[in-house]
Amino acid sequence: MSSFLLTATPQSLWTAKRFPYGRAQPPFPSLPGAETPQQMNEVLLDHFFPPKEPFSPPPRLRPHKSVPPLATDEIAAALSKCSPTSAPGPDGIPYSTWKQVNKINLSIFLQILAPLVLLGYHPASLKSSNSVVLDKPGKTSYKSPSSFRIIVLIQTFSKILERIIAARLLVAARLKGLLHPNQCGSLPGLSTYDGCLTLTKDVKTLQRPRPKVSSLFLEIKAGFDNVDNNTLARILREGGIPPYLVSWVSSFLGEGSCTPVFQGAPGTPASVNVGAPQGSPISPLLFLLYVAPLHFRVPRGLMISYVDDFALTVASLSYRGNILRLQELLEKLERKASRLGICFSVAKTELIHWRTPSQRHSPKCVSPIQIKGDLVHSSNSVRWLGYWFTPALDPAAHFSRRLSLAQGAFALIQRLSPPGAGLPPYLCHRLATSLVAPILLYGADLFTPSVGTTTRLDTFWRKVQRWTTNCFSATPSGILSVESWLPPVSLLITNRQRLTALRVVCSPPSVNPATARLHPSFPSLSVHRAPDFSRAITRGLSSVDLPLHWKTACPVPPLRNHIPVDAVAHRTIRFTSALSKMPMINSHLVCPTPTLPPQSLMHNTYTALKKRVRETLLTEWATRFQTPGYYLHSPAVSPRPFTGLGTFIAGRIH
Amino acid sequence: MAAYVHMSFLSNYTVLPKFKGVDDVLALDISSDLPLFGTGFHSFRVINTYSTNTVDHRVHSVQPEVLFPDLGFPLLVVGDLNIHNPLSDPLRHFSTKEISSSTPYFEKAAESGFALLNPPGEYTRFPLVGTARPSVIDLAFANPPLLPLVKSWEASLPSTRSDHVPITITLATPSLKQQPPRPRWADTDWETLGPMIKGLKVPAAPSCPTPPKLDEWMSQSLNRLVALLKENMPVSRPCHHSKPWWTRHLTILHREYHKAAR
Repeated sequence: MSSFLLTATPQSLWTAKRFPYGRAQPPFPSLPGAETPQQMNEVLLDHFFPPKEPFSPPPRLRPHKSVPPLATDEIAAALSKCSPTSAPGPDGIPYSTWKQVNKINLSIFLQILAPLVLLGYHPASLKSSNSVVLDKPGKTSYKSPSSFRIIVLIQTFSKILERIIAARLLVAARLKGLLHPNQCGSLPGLSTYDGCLTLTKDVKTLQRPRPKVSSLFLEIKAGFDNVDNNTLARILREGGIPPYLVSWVSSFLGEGSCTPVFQGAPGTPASVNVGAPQGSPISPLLFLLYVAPLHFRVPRGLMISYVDDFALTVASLSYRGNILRLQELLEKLERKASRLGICFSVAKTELIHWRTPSQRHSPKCVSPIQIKGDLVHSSNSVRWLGYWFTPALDPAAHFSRRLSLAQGAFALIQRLSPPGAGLPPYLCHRLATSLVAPILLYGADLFTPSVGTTTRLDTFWRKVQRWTTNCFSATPSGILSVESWLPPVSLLITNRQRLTALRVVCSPPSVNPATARLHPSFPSLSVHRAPDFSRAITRGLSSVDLPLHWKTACPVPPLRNHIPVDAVAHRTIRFTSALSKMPMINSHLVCPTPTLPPQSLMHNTYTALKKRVRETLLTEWATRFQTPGYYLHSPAVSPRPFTGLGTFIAGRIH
Repeated sequence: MAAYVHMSFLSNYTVLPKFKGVDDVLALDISSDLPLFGTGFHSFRVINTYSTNTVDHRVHSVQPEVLFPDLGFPLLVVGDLNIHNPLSDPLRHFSTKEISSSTPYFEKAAESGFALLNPPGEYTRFPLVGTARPSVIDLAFANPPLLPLVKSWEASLPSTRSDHVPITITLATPSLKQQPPRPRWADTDWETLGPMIKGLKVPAAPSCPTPPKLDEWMSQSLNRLVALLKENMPVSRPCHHSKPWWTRHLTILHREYHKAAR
């Protein structure tokens, strides 16, 4: 094994990862009442694709009027986003083959796809798919179809057309305002961080005048499978989406052929209506458009969603009052959801009562929320979008879990490179930066760890650095981090926070709910802001409770703090002080305005700002974590060329 | 330590208990004249253990070498190992002592090619007193010959009033369906194929078609292109001796095994 590891390349590194992981077989569906593979096939199809109202296409297709002609650039842009390692559908043709075909003859795709766009039709032959049955990890029993999930592997050729339509539909939906401003996820330029930052900002702001704030977290049950074709077509039509796109979406969601794939599957295709197939590039967007009508304005509160995860936040003078309000809002939400034919999962519903330090000793509220006859009590910690929230928004709760997960990942990969043998250091560095660091630092953009937590993270990170370099444990930590090309964890966190802050302030406010909550005085290119009800409630408060202006540095001692979005804006001052206005990324998603500078200019400015942040990381690394005088190397984040040589391992030289 | 075997099982298979000269370990050898699980193996071993902390709390009563031997036939290792490790319980924070005492077991298991069957983080012990946390200490490992036969690991049986939950491990014959020959897309000869693709003519689309007419046109156009690609694509030709469960990972291990044997 060691000889293989020594010759491992970045491409074969993930094969090496399987050595410590082993190769456990996935749980096999053993469903009651399904003895033969054929019966199992039917049970799975019935569960995942319940019969729906059939969609009848028009008897004759006619070319739609004023359809923008399909361009070769659109096809090339769609193909450029396709991963060559993406699993192909029943025909088995990978994207790399289609990319090559398009490079050789640009007109083939145009001749085949242009009539389909013009007629607004998705042909039946492109709707044959393989449905891979995957187990949901951590289930106590695998005797129910609900312990499995289905990933639909659609033909790659079909997905090229889906990407083209998705790009056109997204622009149309943004222009027509069909997506709610508080919808995050599965949209370009948005991430889990934006959802969580918006939530924490509103919670912290609502807490300023000292009321009690509570949140209810909900998840839609089997959302993608339950997208109804006729309802979605009505939503799109009423929202003013061009008829050719509505017609194409209806045709795409119509009946197709699906072959379930599991161990021992008979491999017989069945005619099903799969809803929005999970695995299609357009499905997340269609789902977001489908659930957009669920959103409504919550006075003195917030409703925010990330794909199928919803969070309802309210504030009142008592937690009991919050429970009553949340119950009322939940009933309203359930009524709206039932009209769309979807419902919320009871098992995944969670409730939390937020507390400020001064509310720490106030009596606990034991009243539950009732959902479908079940009672949901408040929790001491809630996991939403991978972030662990506690009532006091304590970062330690989040980081202790991230640390445990990182330790687990590190315990696995550690065996690939025992001292003096195994992987070369540059591959260890690759594993540390691509596998351990993302697990450890997830959420570090939102939460800032305390000194004690940073020390714990640092202790673990030094183990990773030592493993990467094979250096002795007596090596000074400053040298160790430079030798391993892995900056200290506190710098990594600061760098991550700065880069995320830069992305948030440069996003279009009409697209990103966190950007829409920036102070009106922030120099954005767009003046659009979310309704400022939350800051209005801080007017007239005593100076201790009043939020700081975003430009103001935090006073020492911190008698007053920034609200989270203002803290994010403040982080960027150092890098953007020379700019009169912030550049705007993803500006093609907002209504075209003549006042906006050219997109390429804004993109270049944004790239330059990111470069400046990275340079600051290296400067701070060199000044704050100085190495002894005898050590002459300067900090760098990428391995030096000579470290690629398999024969050079620091541990051996030491 | 005891093992219970159903009478109907004994009528078809020979079951021999085997004590390994170490307390707290019981091995059962199951053999039959007929191949087991539809494979070529005639024997199968289950090792059951209860590994306790010794007086000085640093070592356990059963050592990893005893539990994870290199055998050429299927072996299942189950038992209460009383060890805590992030591999079995990823969301828990462990002390250095817990990690250092459990690592040798997981190291030895990985070295011998054993895979952990427990779903990570699923508790197997719920202490009856409230002072300790639930934990994952009842572990099950399968060696490489057994792994393709493992169908499921479940902890869904009702409680036996013990602080440990009953666990069911199901073994079954794997599906050995022969895969059809697969095109090797990465090895395409684009130099030969290029002029053919350039010269490919797509038939004109009908102007106001019915949906079946357009489907037919689409199938015809796409099939023409796909047929051209597949005709000129080298195909992998697996012989009838090849095993559908064989992977590149096994090729590497096989090569290393022979290297070590030489």
